[in-house]
Amino acid sequence: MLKLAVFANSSSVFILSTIGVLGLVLLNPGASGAHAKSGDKITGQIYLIGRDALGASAVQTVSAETFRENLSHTFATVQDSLVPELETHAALPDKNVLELRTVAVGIGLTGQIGLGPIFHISLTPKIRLVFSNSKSPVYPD
Amino acid sequence: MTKFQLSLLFGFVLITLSCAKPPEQSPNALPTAWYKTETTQSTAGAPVQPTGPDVTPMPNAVADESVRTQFMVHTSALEDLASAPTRVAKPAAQHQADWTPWHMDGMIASFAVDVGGIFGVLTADGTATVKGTWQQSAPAGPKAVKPLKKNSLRLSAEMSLSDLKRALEPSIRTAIATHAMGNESELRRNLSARGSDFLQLVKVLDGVPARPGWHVDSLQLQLTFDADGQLTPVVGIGGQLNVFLDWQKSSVAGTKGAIRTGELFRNVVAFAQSLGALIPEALLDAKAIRSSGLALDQFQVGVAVIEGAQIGVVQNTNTIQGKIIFKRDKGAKDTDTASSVSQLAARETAMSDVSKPAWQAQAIPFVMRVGAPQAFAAASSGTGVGQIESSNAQLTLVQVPVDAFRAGLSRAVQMGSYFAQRAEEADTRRWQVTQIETEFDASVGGAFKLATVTSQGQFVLDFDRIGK
Repeated sequence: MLKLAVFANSSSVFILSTIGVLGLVLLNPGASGAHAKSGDKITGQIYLIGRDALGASAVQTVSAETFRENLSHTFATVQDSLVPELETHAALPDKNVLELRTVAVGIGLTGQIGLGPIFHISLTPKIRLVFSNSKSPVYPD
Repeated sequence: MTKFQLSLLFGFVLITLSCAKPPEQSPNALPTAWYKTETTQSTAGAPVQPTGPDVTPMPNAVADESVRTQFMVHTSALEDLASAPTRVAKPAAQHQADWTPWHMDGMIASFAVDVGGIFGVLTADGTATVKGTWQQSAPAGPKAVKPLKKNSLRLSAEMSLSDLKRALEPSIRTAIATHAMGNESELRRNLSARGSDFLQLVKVLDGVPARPGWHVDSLQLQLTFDADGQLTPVVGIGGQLNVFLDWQKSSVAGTKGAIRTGELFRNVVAFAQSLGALIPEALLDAKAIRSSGLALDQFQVGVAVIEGAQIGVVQNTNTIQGKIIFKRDKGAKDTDTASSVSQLAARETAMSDVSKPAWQAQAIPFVMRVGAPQAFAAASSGTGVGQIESSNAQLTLVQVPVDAFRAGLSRAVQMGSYFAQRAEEADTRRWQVTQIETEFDASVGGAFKLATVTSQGQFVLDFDRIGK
């Protein structure tokens, strides 16, 4: 399910920080191996690194190909949902002087990792997608 | 349970314990020297031996392949993305000059280093060791990435404390109106104190004379307060109020509110100009990668002032007074700007308005917590680190020998360049990495280590795609 925050048009630049929960990432260790060029199947594994509720370091692995498939699907979903909305918004009669130029959307792929019977941690990659109607957009920090 | 069963169990436990080995480093991990500080490598009080740029180990083939994969998978996912159909929503005459149809322009992804040295994708919580920006290539080539001052409160040296309080008022009222803040008086007190400290440093930095090459560009500070109005150590996560203070140095040589006298001014000038001279030297030492397209053009360092007069590099978020951002002059080459610290010191001595402190040419000051392991090691080792200059109840100043600092900075540039190069190798014709930020911790031994997911880095090296 994709959730997008509502934005107002009172500034030229907006940052939407919302989490799009786009299904379960199957977390399984993949074999380490050579990487592939874009478009080819990628071997190896992706490490998801974060901190658990106690602040300790937490690492889990996911197959690089699985991660890429989920990431691609997420990108496509966000783009196909957001761009038409932005164009509709742009077509509305101007009520403010400032024009919406750039939108940054935080996305997340979430998965649950069992560490024994007690601990479950959720690891959400921090990725932001930047949409713009400018040839030279200003990016967020 | 019978005696026999107990004996068997006891024997099994003994065998298990005897076979237990200390955890081995993963073959996918980065070299230990890249991420472990002296305090975890040696016992407290042991001598700290600074290492030079020539001993920086490179990741083994397995770890190197793993790093490539982390970058490659992001580029590959972007490459899979088809362009969304767009329509022109307005007559062209109403568009601004840079208008183009709405499109996905780029992606910002964060990566982290685990405490065991594994490099991977950063999840929701933790420190980003490396932050990468991917952008879609325009027909004319990659576009420049400009930093956005997010929801920032722009300060100037001409502001008074009253001006600052008025500027902060909307943020405070918003937090209270949304019932996010339970202790208004404590929030006002803490925010006012931190804002005042920031403003003081702004006024001093505004008076720092400009130098060619690397110069002070801005000062920034992000503060996060909890519901009790207390500053939280973790920026941006779990806080009720985020305040981003920002000051940009004007091209004019000092405004009306600038402070150009006093001990703090002299120390800030020495600090800023020492670092400004050390960066190009470190670049030359490290033989940083320039031909690959991404070049170091920005350097951030966390600082704090103690006893009202001493400035130093600082790590702890609750102590930090701001991040000074140094930028390279447009068009400047490393060979144009590199100058030894001793040469700089000679020039500063000739200046009539600046009395150079005695330590300028020999050391870079660090502000440390009293009792912190590194401060203890510094005080007791006697080798590789300087003496404690002064102290107050919580903080102390430690002088890091400039040679050790420069060697550490060179190694940091090498490590940052490594990630920039690996990220660029994943470039395609359509998607390119246009910026790589790498975050480091620095120790009083002069060692720069990659900030791990659980640490707080105080140095950030920014590699940007420039000159194309």
